[in-house]
Amino acid sequence: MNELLPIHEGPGRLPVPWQQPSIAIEGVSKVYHTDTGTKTVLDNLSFEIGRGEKIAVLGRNGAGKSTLVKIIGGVERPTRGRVRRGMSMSWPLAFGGGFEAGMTGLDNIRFIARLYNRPTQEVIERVDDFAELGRDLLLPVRFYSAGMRARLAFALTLAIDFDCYLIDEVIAVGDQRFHRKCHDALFVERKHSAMILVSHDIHTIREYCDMALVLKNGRGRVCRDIDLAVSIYATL
Amino acid sequence: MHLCGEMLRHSFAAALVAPGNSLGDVDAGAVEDADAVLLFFDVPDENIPPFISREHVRAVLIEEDFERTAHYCMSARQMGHVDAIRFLTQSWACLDAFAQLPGLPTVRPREYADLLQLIDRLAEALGIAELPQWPLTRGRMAETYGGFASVDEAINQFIHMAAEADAAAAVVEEDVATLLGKLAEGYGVGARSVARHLEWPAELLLDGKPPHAAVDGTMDVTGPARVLTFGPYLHLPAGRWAAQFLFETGDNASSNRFMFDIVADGVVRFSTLGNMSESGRFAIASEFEVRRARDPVEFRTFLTEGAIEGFFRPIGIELQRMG
Repeated sequence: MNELLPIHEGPGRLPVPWQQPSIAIEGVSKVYHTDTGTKTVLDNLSFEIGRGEKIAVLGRNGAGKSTLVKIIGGVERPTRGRVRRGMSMSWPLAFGGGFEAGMTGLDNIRFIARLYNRPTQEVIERVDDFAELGRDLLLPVRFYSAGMRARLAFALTLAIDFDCYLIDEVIAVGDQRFHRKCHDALFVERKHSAMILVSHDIHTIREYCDMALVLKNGRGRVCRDIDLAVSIYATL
Repeated sequence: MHLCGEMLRHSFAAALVAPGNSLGDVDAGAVEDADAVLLFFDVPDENIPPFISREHVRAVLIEEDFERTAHYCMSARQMGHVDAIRFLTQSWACLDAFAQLPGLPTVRPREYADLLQLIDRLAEALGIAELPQWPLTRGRMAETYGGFASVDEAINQFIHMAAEADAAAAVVEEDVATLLGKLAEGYGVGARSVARHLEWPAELLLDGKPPHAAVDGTMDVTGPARVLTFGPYLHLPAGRWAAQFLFETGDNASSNRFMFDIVADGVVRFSTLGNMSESGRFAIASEFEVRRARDPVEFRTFLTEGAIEGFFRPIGIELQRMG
């Protein structure tokens, strides 16, 4: 009997093309129907980011950044087009909307860990270590301040270890020391992770992003030249 | 000019031949010491024509073909064709006010078959032929210039680089020749003045992006807010003008905003803001005034906010003199 070989190495089998894991936004449009008529918030957007790549999303208020984040994160569905997720992707960083307010912080952590099939105790320890909420984790989340909720959400996002992080404006929460901790956790400890970063912080974008998507009136353009993207954004 | 100066020198012991593009150029002391003064100008300021009219100064407008003069500037003054065009439009625009003076004689030297005929015509126009010493002067002029077979031959003899300029004109690049021909339709009409309708080709506009080369067709507007085009720094006779700036846009799906203005006499005379339509051909109609023909006119387009897509193609500028 022949030795069993892994399927892709079997005799007579064509090599399977290796596909780079990526997040691909393909022709995504989002149209809202309002009392005053239809409003196209996103119009035929397409871009792709591969493993470890970091893309900034730039645009004026109302350009469609948050809608794009919601669509990429699966919170909203596009009117047209699709999002292909070839990597594990976080919910929007520090997004606290997914917590069950009646449950304690600890129970929320357990729930998320099970949902993402991560070792519960390890996730609890990592969140507890990062969020510095201590015994407050035993309180229902509805008693948390906005800052405490943001710290819990931030820590939970980091504890899951996604391939790609979706960051909408909130890069850091809490006081100055905690800001530094958040910054290091994202950009130093996870420097090999992919990121979709919605931010007005030009310094961070210049320092960490490989490319930028500039949004204007729902349309988008990806620039590999960050300086060009920033110069466009500065005068939008 | 050469012949006019020589006639004056033969007629007067102390003749002053001097440039006088503005009244301030003229040395009052030298004028007082002179028996006769011949002022010549190629870009007279706005004060010269009224002065000539008010003081009943004898004057003659000597005309040369626009394209030929352009080639002369390019050869003799080593100008590029665009600089030559700018200089010539300045001269034509400034001389336009001069040409409007009633009764001003005009002479086109190359139309004369015989040099002595040309000398007689110039002497008549400048009043030299009315002087008692004219027969003597004419005799001296005939001795010097009577041997030339044609005016062209004399021009080539006495005007530095004239022959070389004619030779260079024969081998000029086709696009330059075409451009000169287009402008000659408006400026070199041979009717003593700039035409009432002019067309300035888009290729005379300058790209706002360094190194500010001539606009070459379609421009990608992607980028920050900035100057898209400026120039062409050509000149118009003083007066009121209607202009149409013609352009084409495309792929402006994200609605780019732009500003257009016209600078004349060193100040903005017209300005408007608008949205670049997604695609199509458009014209911005405007009216503006030029007070000083010596100052260049500029048509500028600005992208007033950053753009992520779209193109812009200036087509040209049409100008119509009003009134």
